[in-house]
Amino acid sequence: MANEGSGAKLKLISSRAATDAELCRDFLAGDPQAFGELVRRHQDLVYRLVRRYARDADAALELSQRAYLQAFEAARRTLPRISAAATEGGEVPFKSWLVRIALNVAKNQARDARRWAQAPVEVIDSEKRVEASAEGAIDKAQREAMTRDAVLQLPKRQREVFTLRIDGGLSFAEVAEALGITEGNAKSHFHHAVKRLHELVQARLQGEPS
Amino acid sequence: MTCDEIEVELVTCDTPSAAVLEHVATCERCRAFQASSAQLLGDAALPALSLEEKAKLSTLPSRVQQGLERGDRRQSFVRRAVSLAMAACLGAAVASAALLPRIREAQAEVVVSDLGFPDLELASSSDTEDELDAFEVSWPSPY
Ligand SMILES: [Zn+2]
Repeated sequence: MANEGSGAKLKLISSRAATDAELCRDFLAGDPQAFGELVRRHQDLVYRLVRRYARDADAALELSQRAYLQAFEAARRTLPRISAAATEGGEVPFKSWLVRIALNVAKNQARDARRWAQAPVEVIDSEKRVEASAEGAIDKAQREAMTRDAVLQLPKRQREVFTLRIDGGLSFAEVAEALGITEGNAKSHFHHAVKRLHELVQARLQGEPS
Repeated sequence: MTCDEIEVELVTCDTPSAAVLEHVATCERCRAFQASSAQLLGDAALPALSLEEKAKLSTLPSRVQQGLERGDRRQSFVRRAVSLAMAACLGAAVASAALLPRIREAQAEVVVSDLGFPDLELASSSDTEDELDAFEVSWPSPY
């Protein structure tokens, strides 16, 4: 499997970082080094994106694995395009695939979790705590739990932009590229997300149903 | 600049321009927004990755590799199963063709198509590929 040809290719391009397109092409040709590099390159981002939706670290790791498997399967299906892009020095939108798949996988997981009545502990906790401290000030930890949960209630596009920016740490240009929107649009969604989040948290603090 | 435009810049720019800062200094609404959004964004952020999480994350490449190998094994199993099913159908069709004269003798009114055997042409390569595609795991499109 680990053919010498692709190993040599990796060495040849070692003076600069291999592009995702080159790594994808070499992975599809059976090069395990390219595969490992491709996973390592984006694994932090993927993990941070799915983390908000997961119950614990193991669940987040499981979601990350699922996102990668689906992205690699998408890469396999478009092998001819990938080979052409890599040869012509073009780029394959592997990172965008990965980001969008990770967001989908994570969101589906949250939906399934709700179906099985396994809401994240933070949600249950925050609701209990609001009641318990009705007359007192809500402390920082409680407010954080409430706010983090409210992020999951944001409308789809606002939530995607918000989590790519806050959890993924992407620039607005990168957010726009991943979601196929303009940078101005991404900024506008983020602004709306902040305002909506503020309303959701205020409603919860005042005991209103959100 | 309107207050809305100022708000957008406040939450999307790491270093707001001098014009924005000047506006905020004199506008109560924008000052309140700046303070509340800063707190909100701090509250919404997840804690940094723990050492335990980092250790788990380092196992991801090998986990993904295992997942891919499992998927490949499953696919080749499905392909083998489909091939065997095709071969069985083909055998049955050949057997039926051999029995046909005798069946015709016994029941002159029964026609072959009523027996429900697949067409012999099913074993052609293009049709087999179509069948295989239907068995492939369908992954969501990245688009
Ligand atoms: Zn203002």
